[in-house]
Amino acid sequence: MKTNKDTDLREALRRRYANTPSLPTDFTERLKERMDTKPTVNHRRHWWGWMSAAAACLLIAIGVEVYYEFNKTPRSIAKLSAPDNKTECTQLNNRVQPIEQSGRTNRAIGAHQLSNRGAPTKQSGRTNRAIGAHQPSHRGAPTEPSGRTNRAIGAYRPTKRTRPTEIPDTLGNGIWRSERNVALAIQMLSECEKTIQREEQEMRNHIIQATFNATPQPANAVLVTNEAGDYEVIETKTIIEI
Amino acid sequence: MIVKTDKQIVDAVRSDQRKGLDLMVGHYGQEVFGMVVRLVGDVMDAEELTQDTFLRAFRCMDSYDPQRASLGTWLCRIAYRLTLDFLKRRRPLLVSIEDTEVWQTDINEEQLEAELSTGNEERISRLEELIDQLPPDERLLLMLHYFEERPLDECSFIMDASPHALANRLYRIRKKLHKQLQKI
Repeated sequence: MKTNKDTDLREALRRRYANTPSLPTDFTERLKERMDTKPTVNHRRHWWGWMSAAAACLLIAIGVEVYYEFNKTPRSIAKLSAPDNKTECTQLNNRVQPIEQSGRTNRAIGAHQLSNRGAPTKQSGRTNRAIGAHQPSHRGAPTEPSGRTNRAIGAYRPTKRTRPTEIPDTLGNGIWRSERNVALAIQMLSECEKTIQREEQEMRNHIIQATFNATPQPANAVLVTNEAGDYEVIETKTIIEI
Repeated sequence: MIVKTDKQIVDAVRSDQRKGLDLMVGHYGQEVFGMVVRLVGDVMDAEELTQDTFLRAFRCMDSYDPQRASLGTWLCRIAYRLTLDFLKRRRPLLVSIEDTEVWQTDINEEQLEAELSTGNEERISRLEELIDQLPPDERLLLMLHYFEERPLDECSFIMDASPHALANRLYRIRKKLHKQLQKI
């Protein structure tokens, strides 16, 4: 590589730096002193640095944890703690033993049986047409319908039945430390229960009404609502007799 | 005085630090201190930085590779880094002329060399002042290359830059000085 003459620059540098002070005579002694002392100081400084960093990280982690514990929104709790409303409703109502039905005589009985939420019912014959169409209201294990009625049933039957199990505790017990969260959970459960009952009643009434309309009835048969709000098929003659 | 080679000094440091320290400081102390004091300008600061340099060298002696550079050059490299850190902490770097202005100067290498080789006393004095206004890394490059007569390869090891980059930087510094000289 070519070296430039640049004599002015060289001369200026020579003048500027020619009188460089020499190394102090006690330089080596002072350096030896520092050699003896410096490592300890450094070590201590590093140790404190690491400790401070670790403490800061710990504090941040605790802060974040506390923040998330006490600042969860009600919506997120609702989402996580109530997984599938329909499935849970179905599970809650598995209580009653199976009932067998057959023939045309089941017309009226069948309508009332619908309130028996429970184990499988066996149905056959033409009456299934009307009942089967509303079969999802039979809260319980699977039914075994047969014949042409399956067409309608198949359309409504849930493809998968879940067994009653405990709701997985995905949030941890920590959420129950907050009174607000507990109150919210209770409120949600009660609302859920009310909704289930209302839906069940509506479905029962619907089926009864459909059955009543679809099948030939005696001339004096009427559809009435009882005190609980359920439909009932009664014959006017019976009322007069009473 | 018995002249010791780099290998002997390094071996002495590795076997006995106290003995190695005497040897190393005796051999390279003035060279390192001279470079630092020219950059820093203050004897006390320069002494402390030189001490830091030797302490760092003792601690990192295992990383020294005699194939890459001589022991003196390696020490200068450590000193340069420490000094730059020190100067950054102490005050912001001085930039006398904008780079764009420098690059706009239309002058070729021969003209530049002629402009910086006039022998004019006034220009030399002015150059002395201008050198003081340069940033430390540029001042060091001039010092190493023009004053200490080190080749660019050695300068590149000390300043951790490629020789080509240093040649470019040198050209830019000279142009910068020339531009300033024109303002007189």
